[in-house]
Amino acid sequence: MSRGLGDGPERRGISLRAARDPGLLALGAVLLMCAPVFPGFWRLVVLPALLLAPGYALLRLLRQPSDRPSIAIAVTASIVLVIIVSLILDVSGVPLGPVSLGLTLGGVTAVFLVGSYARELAGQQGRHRRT
Amino acid sequence: MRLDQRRASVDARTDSSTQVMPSPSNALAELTAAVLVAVGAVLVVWAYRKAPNEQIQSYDPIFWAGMVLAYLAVAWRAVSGRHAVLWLGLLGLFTLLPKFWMSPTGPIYYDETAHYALLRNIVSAHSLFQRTPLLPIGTYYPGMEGVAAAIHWLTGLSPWVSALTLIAAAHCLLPVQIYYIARALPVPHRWAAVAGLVYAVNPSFIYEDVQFAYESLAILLMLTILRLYVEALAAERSGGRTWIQSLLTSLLIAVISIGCVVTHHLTSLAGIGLLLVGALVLKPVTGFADREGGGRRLFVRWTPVLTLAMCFVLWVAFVAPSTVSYLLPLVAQPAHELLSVVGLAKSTSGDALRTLFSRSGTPGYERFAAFAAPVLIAVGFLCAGIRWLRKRPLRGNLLWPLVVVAVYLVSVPVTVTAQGTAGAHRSWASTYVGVALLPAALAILFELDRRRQWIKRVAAAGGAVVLVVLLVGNVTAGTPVDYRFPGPYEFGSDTRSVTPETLRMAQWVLTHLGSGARVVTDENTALALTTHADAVTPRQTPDLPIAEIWYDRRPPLPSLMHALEQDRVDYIVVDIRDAQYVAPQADLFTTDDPPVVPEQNIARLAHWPWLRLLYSSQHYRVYRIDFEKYFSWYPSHADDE
Repeated sequence: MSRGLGDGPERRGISLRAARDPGLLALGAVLLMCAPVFPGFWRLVVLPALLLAPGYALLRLLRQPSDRPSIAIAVTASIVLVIIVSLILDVSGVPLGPVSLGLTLGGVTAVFLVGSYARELAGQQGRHRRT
Repeated sequence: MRLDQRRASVDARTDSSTQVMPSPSNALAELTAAVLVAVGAVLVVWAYRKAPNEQIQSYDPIFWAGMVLAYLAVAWRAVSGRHAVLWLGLLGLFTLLPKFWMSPTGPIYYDETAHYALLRNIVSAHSLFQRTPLLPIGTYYPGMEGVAAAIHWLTGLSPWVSALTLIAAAHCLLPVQIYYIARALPVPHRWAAVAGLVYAVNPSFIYEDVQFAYESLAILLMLTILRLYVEALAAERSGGRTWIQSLLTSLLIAVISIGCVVTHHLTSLAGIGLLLVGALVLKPVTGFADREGGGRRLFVRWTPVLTLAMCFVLWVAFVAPSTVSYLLPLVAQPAHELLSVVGLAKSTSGDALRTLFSRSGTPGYERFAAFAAPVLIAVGFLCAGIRWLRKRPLRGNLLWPLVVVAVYLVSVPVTVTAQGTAGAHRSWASTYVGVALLPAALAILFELDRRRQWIKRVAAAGGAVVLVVLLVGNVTAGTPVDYRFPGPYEFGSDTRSVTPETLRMAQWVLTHLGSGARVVTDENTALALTTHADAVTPRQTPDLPIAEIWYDRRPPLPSLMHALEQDRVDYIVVDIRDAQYVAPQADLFTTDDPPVVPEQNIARLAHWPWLRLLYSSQHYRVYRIDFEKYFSWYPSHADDE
């Protein structure tokens, strides 16, 4: 993304590393998978992971910008992924619940992350061969 | 990242002529604006504390003082500060406040009650595609409830707080997405911020699109699709994209399109319309068919439109075919009414034009603003349209918002038709995308950034006044007073007909009849029972004409009682005020209700031997139906009156 397409000067501010750092995205995937085991209010830590991690992982996989102006797209993408995962589980006859949704959403996030790394690796190898 | 750099260089080129860099950050100014927003919030809350016991004239000015203060403070910093997006997001959060104070503990609006019932059913059944008689079509659009249920399951929040959390997250992103759509057209930073502000005064923004109802989430999905689309076209305009980048962006748009279609039918249709207009008029386009643009340009231009349209058609065809019969009357009836008004169609009994604001009790300044708002937009549209025709070099991508504004202006007269008002109101959250971009169009076409300082100041002051008029007018036009403020008991009102007596009755139903009790009752009592007793309340349909029990002078027919028995409806709940009051703007069962429920029709229920009185309060009666007794009783009482 760019200044022209983005939000101009505010982009230069504090970055949302927490949301787009691959390590933190992986943590988000783990949080989603472990959601059912968190006791009481501790489960609230899953909320940011649910709203950000799947979406940012998808943006990474699809080579979309994952900077600060993309947070609105990442949140939307996360919401849509929850819808699609719920639909697939429901159509497959799997009862929806914390375990099925947490494992699947966390798994999907992890797969997207691995996929984005695999894509980057393949791209680097391709460039290396050409040079 | 390489893609980003390419886009940056291109945008600097396309945007340089019009971009006005915002002034440097001023911490004191930001703090002052934040304090003003907080003061605005306090005023709004104060108005809501006063509302239940006082006349609207005493609390309405306080409410508007708070709202205007917050909007203008946000406008100040969004337009002239460095953090436009943060301020627009904050405005989205601030505008949750009025609706939150209307229903902090649970749903009270009709749509919200229906969707919350669907959510509770999904949570208890651990499965999507649940039913509620309040909104049968909602079964086939479970997107929003599915996400709220996921938040509930994964975070441990209650279903209602999960629903509020989802809507809050979606709502604060709406003006942000408008900002980015404007930037991608491209519109300079401060005018993009103005676009976000103007979108935040659309008639649905403060009370409708903050409800837990499917449009509230779907509108975010639709705006995100639009943003990705306009950004993809902007990147295509730069010529710096590869096929694979275009393919991946289209894939992302396709994923979000699926979510949009699964969430709301009407917003998906509006999205198709907005994309279609964009595909026809947004640059880069060479000629009508864009033949010189090459294959990739055609792909970028048309794939999102076709993807969303195909997703919608497939969903309706294979999952939700009843959508067609649900949506058709929203278009056909108002069209027929308008045609009959101008003498091109035969008039029917239902074709009555509404008298705007009759019995609404709104203050005069609100009504004035409500009438002035579309007039101001029409004037702005005419000025921009004339200038667009004359100033070819400045046209840019401004035809797209102008076409959308034209659609909005065409929908305004539809509100005077009895059948068309709901459909017209629902379209405004989408068509206001065009209205939001109108100030930017005017600024660009009249080259405001090149004018003298005093002209800019006058324009800024005028713009602030117009923003306030649109805010007050749109809320007044879009939302009736009983949807905006709490107040004394009002017969026929979704929001004001629930009293402590209603809650006691609902609690008794929940305790003694259990969750999921199937009850026939009027629409207002049905809402209260659905929300507070988790009851299932079948609505009037041609196959289930329950209104006969209230209106027909003869006892209910065996066909109706058979249908009730088959539907496992065991109880009738009656509010005796149904025969004491008339609600001209609300329906007890359907829009074709007779004007009055005969009093003896309510009284006779106590004498029918097949109804056993279970609960009685000042106004409510709960009866259990004994179907066996009814079928033996009916033949000898069929002609009773």
